[in-house]
Amino acid sequence: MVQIEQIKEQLIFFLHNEIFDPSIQINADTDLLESGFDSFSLVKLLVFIEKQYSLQVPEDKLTEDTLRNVNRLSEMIYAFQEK
Amino acid sequence: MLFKKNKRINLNGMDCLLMAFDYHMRKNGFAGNLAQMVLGLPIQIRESEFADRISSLMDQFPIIHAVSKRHFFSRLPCWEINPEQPSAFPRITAYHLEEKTEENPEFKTLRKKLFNLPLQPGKGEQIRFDLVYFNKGGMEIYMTWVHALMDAHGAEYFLSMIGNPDLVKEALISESSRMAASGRVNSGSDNHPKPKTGSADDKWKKAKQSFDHIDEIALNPPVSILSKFPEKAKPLQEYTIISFSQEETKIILDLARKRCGFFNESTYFAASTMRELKQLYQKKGVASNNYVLSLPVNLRKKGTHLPVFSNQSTSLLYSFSSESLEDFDSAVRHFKEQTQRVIKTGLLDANVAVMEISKFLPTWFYIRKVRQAMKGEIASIVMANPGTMYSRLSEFIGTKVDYVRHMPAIIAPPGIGVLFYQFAGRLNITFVYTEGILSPEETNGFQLGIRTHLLNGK
Repeated sequence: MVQIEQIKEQLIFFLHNEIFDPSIQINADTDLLESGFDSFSLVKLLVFIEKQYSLQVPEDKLTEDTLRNVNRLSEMIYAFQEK
Repeated sequence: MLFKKNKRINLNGMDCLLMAFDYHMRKNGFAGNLAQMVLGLPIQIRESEFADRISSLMDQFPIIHAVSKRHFFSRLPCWEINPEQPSAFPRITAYHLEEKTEENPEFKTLRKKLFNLPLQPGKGEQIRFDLVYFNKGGMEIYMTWVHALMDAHGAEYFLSMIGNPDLVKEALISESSRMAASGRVNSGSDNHPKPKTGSADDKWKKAKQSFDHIDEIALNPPVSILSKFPEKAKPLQEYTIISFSQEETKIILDLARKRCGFFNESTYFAASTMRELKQLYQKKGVASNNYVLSLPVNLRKKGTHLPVFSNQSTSLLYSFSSESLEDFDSAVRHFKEQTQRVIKTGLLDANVAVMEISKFLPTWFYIRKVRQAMKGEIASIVMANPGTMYSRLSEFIGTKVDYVRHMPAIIAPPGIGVLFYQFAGRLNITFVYTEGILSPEETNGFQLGIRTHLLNGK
């Protein structure tokens, strides 16, 4: 099981390299929605989560709250791993 | 100045594709592959003040009056800039009308004229401005450009720069840092970022994947809406705009979330559009077992509208069987499945690879390849959702902007396009179509149908 701190690091690395412009500073608290995250970013993120953690996140778990920042996303992924 | 040392600027793959379609449309009598935006202001800005602002941008970004050419040996398309030679472009033309209402025939005629007025990129006319003043107050600024020059996001930033000069610096830094990073500042080479497509061999493999996808869709091609009435279509385009109130927009976005999941408004828009398109075909008596949707995807890294002068997008083709559009949930499911597949199989990268190699293909070859594969049609309909407009567009030369509209020309065929975008908390839809293929009743019916689907989630 991947630890929550490691999930955070991996997500920040992915978002920084694959999704956001280099001018956007991404840390665990950055508001992703305010920073320009869009629907295609979401599909890419879900595919990343599926490949990296072998997890399929149910649609109803994707909300404004769980996608707010890396902290919330990591908590969601970590909780799913435990199940 | 940024581009003065460069004599030539290369186009990226998507720019080249859009230029190919421009050629194709002109050949068929249309004004070309152009795009247009309009800014509605409550006050009137003097023509001379506007001209001063454009003049200063011409010095900083001479690409806006560059001449479209081809390199002598490679035949690659490029923009050629001669900083020493004065340019007659961009043109700024003022019009004076009594009032801005749909009932004013003068206004309707002018709008249609401006939408179908060609540009002369071969002479350096990449962009044009038309200022429409209303005697009863307010004005509209029309910006029309050759689509190969910039996409909707770049255009939003450029229009913002005219009204907010503090944005110029950011754009200049962005352009120059990209050019410096490529180490080609003085060579006049491609100033666009390269997509991550790997080695040359890898690029061709990926391009083949993209062409295979087109061939797969071509196994079940759409029937052209023009097939029954080819003689009625004219090489002119018309548009109408549906604008939702802030309350209606909220209802629509809430419904989109409920029916399609968080952040899936494009799915909701696509399902509504495709369901109504099927209705339209049925009303016209055109039988089609399949419908093909062309959807541009923004390839910019998120959080920026830069670079300005470049098309940072690719188009994805979605196929819907007639049965899959029988109910809303089925249409949603088919759209989502295809989107997931695009990301999982790397089709997005494959499409970028096609754009890269398409630079080296003669225009006619690429057009023929696409059109042969689709048996004469590229798609049944084009849909785009550039999302919420650039926030700095809400103010222009110190004045609050009333509204902003996008009016892209639609590549014909298919000849029908639907563009969704949001400004000041309001959802707008621009519906573009080739004149003659739809009657006024059909146009109204189509718009009303989409509106009903969106507001009711079915």
